[in-house]
Amino acid sequence: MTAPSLRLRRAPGVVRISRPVLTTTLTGLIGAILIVVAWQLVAVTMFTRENGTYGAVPPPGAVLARVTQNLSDAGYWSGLAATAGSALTGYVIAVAIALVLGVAVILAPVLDAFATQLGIIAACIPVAAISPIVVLLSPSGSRAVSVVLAVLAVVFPMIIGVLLGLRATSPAQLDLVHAYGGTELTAIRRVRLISALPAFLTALKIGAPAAFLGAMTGEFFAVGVDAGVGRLLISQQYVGDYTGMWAIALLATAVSAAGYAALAVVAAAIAPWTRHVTGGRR
Amino acid sequence: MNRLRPRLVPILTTLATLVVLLVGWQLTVSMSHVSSYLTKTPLDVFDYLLVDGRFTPAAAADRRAALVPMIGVTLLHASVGLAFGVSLGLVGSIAMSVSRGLRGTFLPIALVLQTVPLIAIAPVIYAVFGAGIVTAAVIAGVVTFFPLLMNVTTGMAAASAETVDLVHAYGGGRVTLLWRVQLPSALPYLFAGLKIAAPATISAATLYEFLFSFEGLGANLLTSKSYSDYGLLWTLVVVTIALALAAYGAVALAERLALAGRFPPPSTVVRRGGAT
Repeated sequence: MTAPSLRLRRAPGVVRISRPVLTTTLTGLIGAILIVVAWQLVAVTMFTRENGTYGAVPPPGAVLARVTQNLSDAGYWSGLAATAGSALTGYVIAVAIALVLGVAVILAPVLDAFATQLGIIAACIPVAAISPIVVLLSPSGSRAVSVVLAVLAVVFPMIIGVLLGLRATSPAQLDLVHAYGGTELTAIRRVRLISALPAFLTALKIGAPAAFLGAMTGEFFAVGVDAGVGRLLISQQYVGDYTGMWAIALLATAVSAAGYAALAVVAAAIAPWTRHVTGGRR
Repeated sequence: MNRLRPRLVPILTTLATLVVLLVGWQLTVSMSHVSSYLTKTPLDVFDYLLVDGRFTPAAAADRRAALVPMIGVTLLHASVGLAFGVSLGLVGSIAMSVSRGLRGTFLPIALVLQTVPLIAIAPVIYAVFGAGIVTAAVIAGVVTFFPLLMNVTTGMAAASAETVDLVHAYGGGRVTLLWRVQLPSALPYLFAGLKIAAPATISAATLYEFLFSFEGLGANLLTSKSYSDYGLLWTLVVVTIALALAAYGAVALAERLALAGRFPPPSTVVRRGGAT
């Protein structure tokens, strides 16, 4: 080990050095401004028709104006609620599946690889393949396809999160429980659950946006369903209302981000020591 | 036993998982009271592909021949998109690793952009590029670009400080560092990104075909359903899922061959990008 003072100069960006929050925020802000300016330029120079109306890429101001307008429209709120409802159902089912698999893996560790494989298969399944089948087998007007796509989108990160969480327990802690005569149940309650929390909460956070996007995608396949963010998008696609389409994309992103943020707040409240664990490495 | 384990076990578990799923599907259909006209089983799909009669056209060889162009179109869409997304992702992560300013500016934006739903931007991409291979490539490229960018950027930053110091101590410049240290250290992350991206491009290509085109697996999934050709529909579902799984398997195999003995065992480090 070399003393820090002996370290040679490092190339920029090679090693993560914690920088002041101010600088990070500032560069992020500059980036955001650059993107908005580029967006504005592209929209005005390339996608504005001669009569002044906007084409496929409307300028950010127009999109933002539409978003504010949408927010005062009850139709959009009911659409958001319908999609969020399917997303929540799928989310709960996926979490339940992951937890059941997690318990099965605790009881029979052989199943670990099987659970991972199931997750990978769920993550690989193309939506265009599974959706027609779900639509075929569910009655007209059913939101089943949205729920199934939400489940598929969430179940892989959840399974990986649960398995990572289970592996996070150190054998010494378990030995301690057993040495004091604790049963496997006590070990789960006192040790495994606590050490599994960080990975599990991270997966819960990642799953929230995924569920919403899955549910929204499902509405493109559903038959006889007329409520939802995806349906609003389709109707605007039919009439070629690009500003409306961008506004919906922005709203959907905001809702997904809100789902993530809400779970982050809950996670920080029930397990404050996991606050520094961010999504990503899975 | 110990030497065989790491090679055989993953293959066996994969096979076992697939068998469990197929048997589960077969049993669910045959034990429940769903319509056998609508619902096909793995055995029906087997018949569709290999046994004459039962489905139209009568000869199984004709049915297989009809599938080939569909698979070809989807593979073309997916591979062009994959190549496009991978090259863009690599260029992006090299740029971000060379310039800290770029990284600070664009990494947060990339994190936000990858949460924009593909299904919401697909119509916009279609409006800009029209129907054709370009739109397919851009849509499939989007789901490739973000996982690649995130993973490779992380991988390049994962080079150990000691190795970096070593290159500098021997007078190596930025290019040497990139070529000798950072890119090799990013290899496991590159494969982790590809494991997400490769099946996702199949998914994105079929989604494009489903939404905007009349050819390929995606479009035929739609038309076979509207023509009530359920034998074809279920076969297409199996073929599409098999393609996505094969794409994953091919990356996993390439990873095994490329990294064998060089790195710690492949982890499940994955960064997901581009919701599909």
